[in-house]
Amino acid sequence: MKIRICLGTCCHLMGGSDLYSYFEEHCEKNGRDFELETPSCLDYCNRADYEAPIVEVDGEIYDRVTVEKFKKILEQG
Amino acid sequence: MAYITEIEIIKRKILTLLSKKMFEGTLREEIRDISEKISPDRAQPFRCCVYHDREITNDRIKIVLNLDHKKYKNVSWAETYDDFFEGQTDNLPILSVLEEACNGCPQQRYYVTEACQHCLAHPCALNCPKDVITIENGRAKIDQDECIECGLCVKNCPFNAIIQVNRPCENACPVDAIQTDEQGIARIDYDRCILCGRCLTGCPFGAVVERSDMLKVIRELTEGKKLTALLAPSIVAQFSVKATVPELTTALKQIGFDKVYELASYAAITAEQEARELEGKKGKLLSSCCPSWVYYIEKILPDFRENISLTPSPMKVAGADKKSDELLVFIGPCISKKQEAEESNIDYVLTYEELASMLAARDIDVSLCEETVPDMAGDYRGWLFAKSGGLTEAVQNFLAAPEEFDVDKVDGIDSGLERRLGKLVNDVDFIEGMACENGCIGGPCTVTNPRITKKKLADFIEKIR
Repeated sequence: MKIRICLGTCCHLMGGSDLYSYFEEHCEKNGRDFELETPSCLDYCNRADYEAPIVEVDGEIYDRVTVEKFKKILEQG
Repeated sequence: MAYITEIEIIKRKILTLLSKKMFEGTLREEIRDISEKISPDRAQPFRCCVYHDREITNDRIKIVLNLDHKKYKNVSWAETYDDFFEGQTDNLPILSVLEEACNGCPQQRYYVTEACQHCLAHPCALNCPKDVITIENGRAKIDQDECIECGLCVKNCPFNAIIQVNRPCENACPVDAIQTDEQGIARIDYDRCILCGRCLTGCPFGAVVERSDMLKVIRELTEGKKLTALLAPSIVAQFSVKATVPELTTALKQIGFDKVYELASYAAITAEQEARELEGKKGKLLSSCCPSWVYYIEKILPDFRENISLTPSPMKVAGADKKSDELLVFIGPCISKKQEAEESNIDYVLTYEELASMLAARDIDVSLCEETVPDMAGDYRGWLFAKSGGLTEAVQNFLAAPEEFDVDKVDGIDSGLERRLGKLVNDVDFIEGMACENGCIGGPCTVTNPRITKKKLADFIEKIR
């Protein structure tokens, strides 16, 4: 599972840093096949239909990702 | 630190939209549209309807402008903006309760929960000194009007089925500075308030608000004034988990700052002076660089006033060094520096939240910026100030014989400190006081989880040591 948490300033400010923190604390060492990338701005936050923070999982874009939503995305994957 | 909530997201969205329009010079015309952007027609309202949500957003905006929202209730946005632009200010308190947003949560109450097993013994009722617990349909019931909140029922229930519920703001406040008016609305007792900001982050309705210098700073930047940014040491990782201070320096210059100073260079001066003071005084010294800690001693435990170090905080040292042609903007993690700035020759204070909103508004991704060397670089001992225990380490570094001084620290003021501090002062020579848990990296206006900041700070200090 390839996860990209957008860490552009806008996503970082709207909770992206929490997603990164959650991932570091709970996902990195639990043996599941996660691959984390922390790209600079993925440039979705400026598009009208998307709202920060943005996460991309295996090519699919999720927006307004809270820690709660992030947990669900990771569980389904 | 807890994960951010919708309250912080809304606050940051408002700040970002305000900055964007202020930078673009269209705020006067577009300020009225912000509340609709925050709560669009299709949105699920938080309160009764989107119109109510918008009203509260509008009140928040007026507080950011440092104008009294009640006074400006029926004033047009253009006129409101003009008043702000002409320098009119209502001198709002740094922290206040937005009454319209306050839920008026019930004060300390005891509730019987579903866990009540309707037991035969009912020790809750048996031990109630006022006999206000009755058993109805087998379930205990507390007469709230008569209950004196002694808590004996909680202690005696064998199922822990009775709970005590407090107001979140009161719970969060370590100095008992939250009171309630006749309508049940929270009020801040400014004689006790130490501006720690716990109520700001603790209220789940977002009813505690802070005034801001952000728009004034943007105005100065766009008018080409010479502004110097003073970066507090806890700034590491606040705008991106991978951005560096030199990258941030470029970002700040892009939005118009003339110079960028790492406050850590002034913090090292504070540490050295504090070390000399400790050696001269031969002990019983309380650190002076966290203003909330200083207000705590002054307001709550004034008996220890004379123990507060006379050494100026890094921000005050920077203020004393101010050149006549520059405006100093302190950028930091806390509310209380907004107060300290008024006594320190500092022109403006921005929080990390406010600066991040400004950078987001200008679409600047700090980690993508080139690296620029700051105009004044810090000393690693100054950077240590960012975390709990770091100030002590820096002071010890400057002591001729550090082993002669016993040290301790207060890592976050809590409600029990009032009882403990006397013994603490008695036992040691130097106490580092930090109002926030983890020190400045745990401040109320930080963006990054302190767990991450701590790690990034350690890496950074290791690199420059």
